[in-house]
Amino acid sequence: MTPLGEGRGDRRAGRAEGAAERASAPGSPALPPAEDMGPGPAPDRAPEPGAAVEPPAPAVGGRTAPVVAREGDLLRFSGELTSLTAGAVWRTALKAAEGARRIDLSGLEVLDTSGATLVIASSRIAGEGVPVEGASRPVAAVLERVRGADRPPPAPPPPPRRLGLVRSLGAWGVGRGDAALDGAAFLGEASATVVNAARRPRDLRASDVLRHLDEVGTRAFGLVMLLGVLIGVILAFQSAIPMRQYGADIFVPRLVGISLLRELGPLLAAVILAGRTGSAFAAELGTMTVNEEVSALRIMGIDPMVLLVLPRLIAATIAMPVLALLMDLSGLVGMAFVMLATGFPLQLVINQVHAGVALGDLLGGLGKAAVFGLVIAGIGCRAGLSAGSGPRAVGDAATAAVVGGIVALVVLDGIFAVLFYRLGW
Amino acid sequence: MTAETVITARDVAMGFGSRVLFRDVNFSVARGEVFVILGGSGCGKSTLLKLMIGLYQPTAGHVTILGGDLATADGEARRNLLRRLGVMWQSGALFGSMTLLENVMLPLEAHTDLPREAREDVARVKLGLVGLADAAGRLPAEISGGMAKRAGIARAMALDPPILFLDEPSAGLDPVTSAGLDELIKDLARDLGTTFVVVTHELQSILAIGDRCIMLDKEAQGMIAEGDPRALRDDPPNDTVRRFFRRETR
Repeated sequence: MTPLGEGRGDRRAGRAEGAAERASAPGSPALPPAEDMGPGPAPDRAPEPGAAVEPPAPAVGGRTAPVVAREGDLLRFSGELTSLTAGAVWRTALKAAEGARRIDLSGLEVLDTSGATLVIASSRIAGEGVPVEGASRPVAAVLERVRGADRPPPAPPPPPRRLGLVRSLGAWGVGRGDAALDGAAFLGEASATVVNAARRPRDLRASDVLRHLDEVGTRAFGLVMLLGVLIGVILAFQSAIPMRQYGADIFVPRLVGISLLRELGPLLAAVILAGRTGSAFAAELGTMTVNEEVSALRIMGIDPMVLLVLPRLIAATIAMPVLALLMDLSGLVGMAFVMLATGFPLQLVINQVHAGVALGDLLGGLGKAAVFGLVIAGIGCRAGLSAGSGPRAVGDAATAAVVGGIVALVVLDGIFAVLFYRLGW
Repeated sequence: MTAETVITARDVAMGFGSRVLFRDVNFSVARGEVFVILGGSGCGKSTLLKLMIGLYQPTAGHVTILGGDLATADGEARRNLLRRLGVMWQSGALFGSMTLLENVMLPLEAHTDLPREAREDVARVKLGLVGLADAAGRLPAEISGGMAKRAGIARAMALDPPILFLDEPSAGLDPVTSAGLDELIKDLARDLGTTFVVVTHELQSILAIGDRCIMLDKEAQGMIAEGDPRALRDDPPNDTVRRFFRRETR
C-alpha cells in the first residue's frame, strides 16, 4: 500500500478527536490486505502493507498529517483532516476516489467540516451506495452534520444568448434614458422647490445655508488662491515665450486677463467645486440615503429637497462667483509676478489689464460661475439622493457627482461660448 | 473529567479616558460550552468581547485565549491565535461587493492551501450549515437581516475555529428567525463541539442557548452574577439580576 497523498499536519482547526473512542465506535472495520496502488508523493511514513489498522501517522509540528491511501477498492483517510490541512490531499483524494468501493475513516483522528466536505465529495465520486465506514463517534457526528448541509453545486449558467452585444447596447440605452428621465424629474422638483421657497422663505433654514457657504466657499479659498496664482504664472510664462519672438510680450497681461476672466477663472474654480464639493454633497446625502435618513425625513413629512438640497444649491450658487473672482484675482497676481520678473513695471501691467479687459468680461464670467455652481451642486445632490444600498453606493454616488459635474461643466461652457458670441458679448 | 478551559479572564478592567466601564472581571470558559455575556445597554458587553479577541487592550488584567494573550501576542503567534477564532459581528459585516459564497471563501483563501474548487465546495457546505445554500450567489444587499447574520456565522466558521464569538446575534430579528438562530447555535455546539461566546441581552436567547453566563452592570461597573442562566432566573442573587430576568423596571 502506498499513501497517495500526505498533507502538512502542523496546523489544525478541528476538534472531533476520536482516537480515544475509536476502539469502541461501531463499525470499525477489519481491513483486508492492502495492495500497492502505484506511485504517489514520497511519504514520510509508509503504512504497513496488509496491516489491519494503520499505525499512527507521524506528528509534524505537533500535529498529525492527513494521509489518503488507496488499497484495492478501499479508499482510506487517516490523520487530521481539517480546513488547514486538507488542501494538500484534496485533489489526490478526489482522484483516488474513482472506482473505490469502500471508504474507511478509522484512521481519522480529527475531522472538521472542511475535511468532511472532502470525504463527502470523495464518496460522491466513488458512487452512490459506497459505504463510509470506521468513523469514530465525533467524526461520524461531523460527517452527518455536513452531509445534511451538503448540496450539489448549482447548474452552470446557460450559454449567452445570441445578439448579446445588441442586447447589451439596448439595455445601456434604456438605462441612459431612464437616468435622463430621473434627472429631468429631479430638475423639475428642484425648480418647484426653489419657487416654493421664494414664496415661503420661512421654510428655508438659514443656518444650513451659512454652514454650506462656509464649507463650499471659505474653506476652499486657500486652494483656489494657490491654484489661481500657479495658473497665472504658467499662462504668463507659456504665452510670453512665443510672443517675445514678435516683440508682443507687452500684451501678455491682456491675454492672461481676458483668458482668466472670461474662461479659465470660472472654469477652473468650477472644476475645484466639482471635485471638492460635488463629491462631498453626494457622499453626505448618499450616506443619509443608505442609512434611510432620507426616508425618515419623507415619513416625517419633511421634504428632503427643502431641508437637504435647497441650502446646498443656494450656497453653491452664491459661493461659486466668489471663488471664480478669487481665482481671477489670484491668476492676475501670478501673471504680474512673471511680468515683473521679466522686467515690466507694475504700472504698465495694470494699464495693460485695464485696457484689455472690460467689465462685461468679468460679469459674464461671474454669471457663468453662478450657473456652474448651481448645476454642480444639483448633480451632486441628485447623485447622493439616488444612491442605491450597500457600502459601494456612496462611492458610486461620489464618482457620479464628479464625472457628471465635470461633463456638465464643459457642455455648459460650450453653450455659454455660443450664447456670448451670438449676443456679441 | 473537567472540560478544558479555553478562555480565562483575570482581574480585567476597561475604561475610556477617565470613564471606567468595568473592573475586576473574572471568568473562564470551558471547551464546547455556550457562554453568554449579558447585561443592559452600555454595560460593556461588546467591549468585553472586543477585549477577548484582541481589538482592545484592557486597562488592567489579562485575557488568555487558547493559551495565548491576544493583547500581547504578535507576528505568527497572533496570526495563529486569530486563525482559531471566528467572529460574527452585530451587523454581519459582510463585504458588500462580494457574494455570500465569496465572503465565506475569503478566510479560506487567506489561511489555507485548498484549491479554488475545494474552497468553493467548503464555503457551500458552511452556507448549507446555516441554511443559506440557495443564497450562495446573492450579494449582502439582497438578503434580509436574519440571513446576513447567518452568513456572518458561516464566514466566522470558515476555518472551523474552536471558538466562535457572536455579537448580538438575535438583535433586530423576528422571534421565529431568532429562535432559528438559537437552534443553529445549539446544533453547531453539539455536533461540531464549537465553543460559543455570545454577547446578547435577548432573554429568550440567553435562556435557550446559554450553558453558563456572566452578567455585567453599568452602575456596578463590573460583573454582578455568574452561573447557569436558568438558575439565575429562578434564584436571582440580587435585585439587578431579578429585574433583568423578570423584565421589571424597578
